[in-house]
Amino acid sequence: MARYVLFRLIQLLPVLLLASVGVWLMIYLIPGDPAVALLGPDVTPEQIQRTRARMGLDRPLPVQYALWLGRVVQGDLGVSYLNGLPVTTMLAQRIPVTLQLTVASFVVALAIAAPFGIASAVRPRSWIARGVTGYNALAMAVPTFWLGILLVLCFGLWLRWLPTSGFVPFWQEPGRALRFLILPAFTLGAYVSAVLARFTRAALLETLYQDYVRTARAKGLGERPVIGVHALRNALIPVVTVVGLQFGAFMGGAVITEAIFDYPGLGRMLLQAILTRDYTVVQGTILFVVLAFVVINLLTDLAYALLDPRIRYS
Amino acid sequence: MTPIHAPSRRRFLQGLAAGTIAGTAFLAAARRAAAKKRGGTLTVGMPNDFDTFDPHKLSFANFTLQQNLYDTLTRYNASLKPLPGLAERWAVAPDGQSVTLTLRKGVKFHSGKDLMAADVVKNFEKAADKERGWNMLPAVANVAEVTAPDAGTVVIKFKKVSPEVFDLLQAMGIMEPAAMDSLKNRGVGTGPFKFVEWVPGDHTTLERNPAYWGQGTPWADRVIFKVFGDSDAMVAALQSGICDLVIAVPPKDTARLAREFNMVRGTPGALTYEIRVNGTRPPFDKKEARHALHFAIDRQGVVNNVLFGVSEPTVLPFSRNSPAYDRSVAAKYPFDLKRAKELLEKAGVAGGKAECLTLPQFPELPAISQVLKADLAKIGFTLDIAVVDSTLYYKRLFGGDFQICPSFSGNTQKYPTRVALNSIYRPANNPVWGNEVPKAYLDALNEANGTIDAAKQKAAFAKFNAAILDEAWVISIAYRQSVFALAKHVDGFAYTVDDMAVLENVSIEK
Repeated sequence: MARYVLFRLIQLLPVLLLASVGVWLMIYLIPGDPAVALLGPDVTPEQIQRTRARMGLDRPLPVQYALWLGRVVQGDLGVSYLNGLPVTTMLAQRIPVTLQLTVASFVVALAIAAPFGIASAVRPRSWIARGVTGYNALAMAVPTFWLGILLVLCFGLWLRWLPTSGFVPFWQEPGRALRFLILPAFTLGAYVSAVLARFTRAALLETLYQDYVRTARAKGLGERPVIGVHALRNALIPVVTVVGLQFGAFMGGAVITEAIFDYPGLGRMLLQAILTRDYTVVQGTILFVVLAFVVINLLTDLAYALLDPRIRYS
Repeated sequence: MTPIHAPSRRRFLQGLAAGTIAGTAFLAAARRAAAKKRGGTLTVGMPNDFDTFDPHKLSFANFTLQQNLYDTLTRYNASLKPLPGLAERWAVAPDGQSVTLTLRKGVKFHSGKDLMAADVVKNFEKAADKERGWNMLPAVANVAEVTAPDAGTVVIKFKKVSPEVFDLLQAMGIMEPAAMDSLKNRGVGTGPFKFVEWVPGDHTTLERNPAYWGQGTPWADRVIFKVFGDSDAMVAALQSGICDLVIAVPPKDTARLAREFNMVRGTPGALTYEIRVNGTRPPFDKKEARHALHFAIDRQGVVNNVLFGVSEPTVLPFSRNSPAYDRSVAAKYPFDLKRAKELLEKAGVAGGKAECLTLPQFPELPAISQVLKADLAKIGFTLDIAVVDSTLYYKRLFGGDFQICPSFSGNTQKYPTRVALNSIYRPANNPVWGNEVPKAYLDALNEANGTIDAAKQKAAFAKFNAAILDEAWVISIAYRQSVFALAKHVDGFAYTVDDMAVLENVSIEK
């Protein structure tokens, strides 16, 4: 097991290297100039040239990349072109914020998906199953930005029950933090809840017709232990895979959701950095997201062994 | 012995009346002040984050810092009369080539250091530095020398007469020299509020400066400037009670919000919407083609449909306060598509095509492009609108890589030649003309800058206006009037002639 984890961790390095090259090239392909973004209106071409030189943007691209990579391997992601703050400091400010939103969205997604998925699998032809199918179709079809705006309009502006934007750290004021979290967490969690509900339903339906489930029933076990202990646990393996993969959807959705709710997380920082061509911040943030994605996939793989004792890694 | 003149009965009654009015006004002000509530946190919504804490970078995003974190040497009232700021008194030399400032006593920087004349000198040195001068660099181009004969006196000598001396003093925000190297992420000034923290892209917190020189101000304990990437989110935050005040309310929301909030309209003409035309590129390299745009743009239509009535049309960039304001020219440039078509035909570009560069950051600009596109289509001219993000927009704008683009210019209400601080009006390094700016314009600019004689100035302004209209590389459309929305519990809000928010007297009455 330890060797397997070590092997997977070593595999991370080329993935991160390739991702960094990809991100580096992509950002330089976008037209625009961070020096212009920094200087703003009414500057002379000389001022722009001097600023480009000061930022090191007048050097050849491979040289810029090599210098950046050299710093990254030492744990230095550079400083923002625009505000001069170290990228690591900016990431440290934003990661807990996005983590709070991601965790809340996962809780919302699981809180919806688990009962919906199980209920529609256990009673596949009931009105509940049809309702869940309708919810799944709706939640997967509705764009995140539209849902977010609709929720702001209904609960923020018409009913005025919940704040339309802002962030309060959960560890400081849990009650207020929850009020600020409800709308963005539901917006971000709705799509994933539908995906998970569908997978849970499909996996559980398949498991419920397995011989060992029939045997459990034949032994006289009640429906609750049959589903909860025998069927659901075995059905969870494909669901866990999807949960891991949905992390990417969360990161993508966070960019939109954080923009709508003005949530000061990684997504909003990334969006602003792209718009202002703050290359160092874009590179640092995407590198972090890639790292997080790969690590979560590794943790997902390791979770299989916990769910199914027959699975062994070597 | 000097005779003593006894006051007449009329003079006595006049004095009594004046004294009563003054006394009543004073008592009313005192009562208002006594009723004002001290303390609390004011949350201000803004559409853009500060891009630096340098008061010499006068970008729209940083306007809010200028009178709250910093002070300027002088201020203007609404009719552009100079008022004391950090400079309590001033004396302009009769030849207009120097000014002596007497600094206010007892002013301290937020660090606790006393403001000295040498600090002001260092601020001028920074402004004149090509690397660090930002927008103040061209503003101090006429400054020959700044000296501090003693701790409380500053003498500014100019290279030639300076008719715009108070425009310079009013724009010059003063920061502590020791903090000049850390302006990217913090600032130390003398203003009513001092810096606490900046979380880029999210918020900036300032707190009350207890040592401020104002009369018992500021009233609020803290100010949080909350940044919203999207103006709709900003307005929603105001409505849901997250913000107490928002700046730069989109024109489309103004009427709707007025039912619930106190709406404050800024100075008409602090900025002016315009279409910038590249006179060096076809099809607008022909003067007639540029003139056609004067008649093809429906200024009143833009005011009604794009700016929702929160503005007024104008043909020249100058606001009503400006000495170059000329009411008569409006009648010469009506919305007249027939005339526009004739001019396009005369230029040989009828049925032609051009690209209109714009950006989504200011929704009015694409909307103005749409209005122009629709009207030009009626006379057979095709306008393709290219909406690009701000970074690319500014790169192309300053590189002169456009045919036409809507934008806006500032400094349109002060001494008229101050308009040349906008890149499009620059006499050199102009994004359209480079260093080959039209001679008539350049001559008028130099003439207006070279005299303090009122009659000569008036004549020079007329030539300046004529050159702008004739060369037509900037087609002014309408004034840009800032709108601020205040929750009912916010009292004492003010703004400068440049529409910079002044929070010194703001109290939170809840």
